[in-house]
Amino acid sequence: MKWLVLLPAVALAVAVPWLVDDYTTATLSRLLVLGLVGVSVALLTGVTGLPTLGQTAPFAAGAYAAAQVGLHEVGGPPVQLLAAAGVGAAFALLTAALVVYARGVVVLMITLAIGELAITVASRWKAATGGTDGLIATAAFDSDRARYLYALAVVGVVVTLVLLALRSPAGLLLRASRDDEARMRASGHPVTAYLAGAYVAAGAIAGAGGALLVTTQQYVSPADFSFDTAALLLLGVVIGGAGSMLGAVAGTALVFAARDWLSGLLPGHAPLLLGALFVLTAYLLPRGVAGFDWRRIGRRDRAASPRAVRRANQEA
Amino acid sequence: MASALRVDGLFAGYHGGRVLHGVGLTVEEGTVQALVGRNGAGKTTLVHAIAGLLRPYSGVVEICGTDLAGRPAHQVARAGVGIVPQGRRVFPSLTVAEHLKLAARHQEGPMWTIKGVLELLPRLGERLEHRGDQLSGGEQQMLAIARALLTQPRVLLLDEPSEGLALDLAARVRGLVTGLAEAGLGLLLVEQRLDHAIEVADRIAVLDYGRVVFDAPTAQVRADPTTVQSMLSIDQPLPQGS
Repeated sequence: MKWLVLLPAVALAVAVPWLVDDYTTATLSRLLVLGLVGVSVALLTGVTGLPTLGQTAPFAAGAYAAAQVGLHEVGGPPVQLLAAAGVGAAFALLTAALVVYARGVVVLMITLAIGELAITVASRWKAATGGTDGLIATAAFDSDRARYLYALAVVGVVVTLVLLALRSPAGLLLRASRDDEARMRASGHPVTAYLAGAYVAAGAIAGAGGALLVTTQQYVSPADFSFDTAALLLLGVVIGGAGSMLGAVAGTALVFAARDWLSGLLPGHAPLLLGALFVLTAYLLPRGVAGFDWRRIGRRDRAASPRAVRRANQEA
Repeated sequence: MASALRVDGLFAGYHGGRVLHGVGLTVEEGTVQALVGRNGAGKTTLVHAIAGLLRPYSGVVEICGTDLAGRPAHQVARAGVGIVPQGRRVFPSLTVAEHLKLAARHQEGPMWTIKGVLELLPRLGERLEHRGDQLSGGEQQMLAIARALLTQPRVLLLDEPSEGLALDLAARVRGLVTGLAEAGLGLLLVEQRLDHAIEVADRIAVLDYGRVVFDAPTAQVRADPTTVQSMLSIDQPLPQGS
């Protein structure tokens, strides 16, 4: 039943490019890309309990890998996507030992450092990244609509795969490790290996996001992976509900939309709006948008209605 | 009778400070070794050091003849040490069925299967789809024991399993402990209450300030409990029947 509720949303998402102008379509494509990176942040922050500010690093690694694959005419978007996911995973594998042994705020600090180092490398390694000038990627699609639909399809497939993985025993192991790591170790589970696996998977997802960024934006530069992006990704995931993948996509899209669109209405006040949004969410939806039981509103009304009281009395 | 667990000269603590000062203890297969002591004596620290949750500074922790001191917890668990931690520590967001699935080892012909533990603890079978935080204290304790058994232990460490339970449930847990020893497990039972320890244990040891200051057969303690009582600063006589 839950999936049936999603059908209208999916239909609307597919129809959107025919309902809005090209600029809005391009903006929505970018939100989808960031939503996918948000999924990788949610997988680490909400599911495994490793809060991260560093997913911009595999995001960047994937983006530059995809851009280079495109520039060297090795293959089209699907090949770029696979290459980017592979590079994102490899980057995560290289840095996993720094992250998976730490917990809490220390993880935030280490991942922040990894993200900042990645930007520094991207800015200085001109041969591979074009430095601060960035790289102009080859155009794989000839319209914003096609780029949006491609991004939507990729995000849909990846999110579905992540949801299926989280329903499998692997998801169970990660949730249990987050709830009580010592207990899991004492039951014979190598928790650190599980966390490393999740970290590499999150790297692959962020890397795939990088390929989508190149496909939709056709340009990539270090500015795409700044600390602001990392912080807003984490904020979006918290607002969406840290343990929910669909919430991560929605929360990330909401936060970046607030920054990109609402700040046009009140120039210079975007940080204020985002701050207000975060405070409101923390108070009203402590478990994020995805964690709120919307049915409770109707249920409370029905329970209080005279008809419900009469029925309860009759049953008694 | 072979030793399931042998601890010798174990020093352990936190952040460089010592809590355990050369602890020595043996648990034979098919017996219950009770460990009693006042709050802060180091009982839970000892359990954690044996289980690999705390890395000891030095000493021996032998499981069926293999020294595992300093090994990570998951390796110690796989070598045959199960733990029922103080306060149960069930996963609040997982169902009973998920708890059991997580703990079950896929070994050929395991001694304990999910079906087997549900026969031993039938109440859990009725609550399979309930989450950990929806269970009563007694049910949580049963789940903690079931979870530990499914890791196929040869030694089971029980850290105050009766804590916070109603009298009848605590008595049921003690009955379960006796049954597990009869099934061949070696059990180290950490208890605050001497009368409970006397009821189920084959031997009783007293831990005080990180040292084993007393270790004798239960019959000896039952015959003259005053020595142990004075170590535990207990003034009241033991209840009748203990």
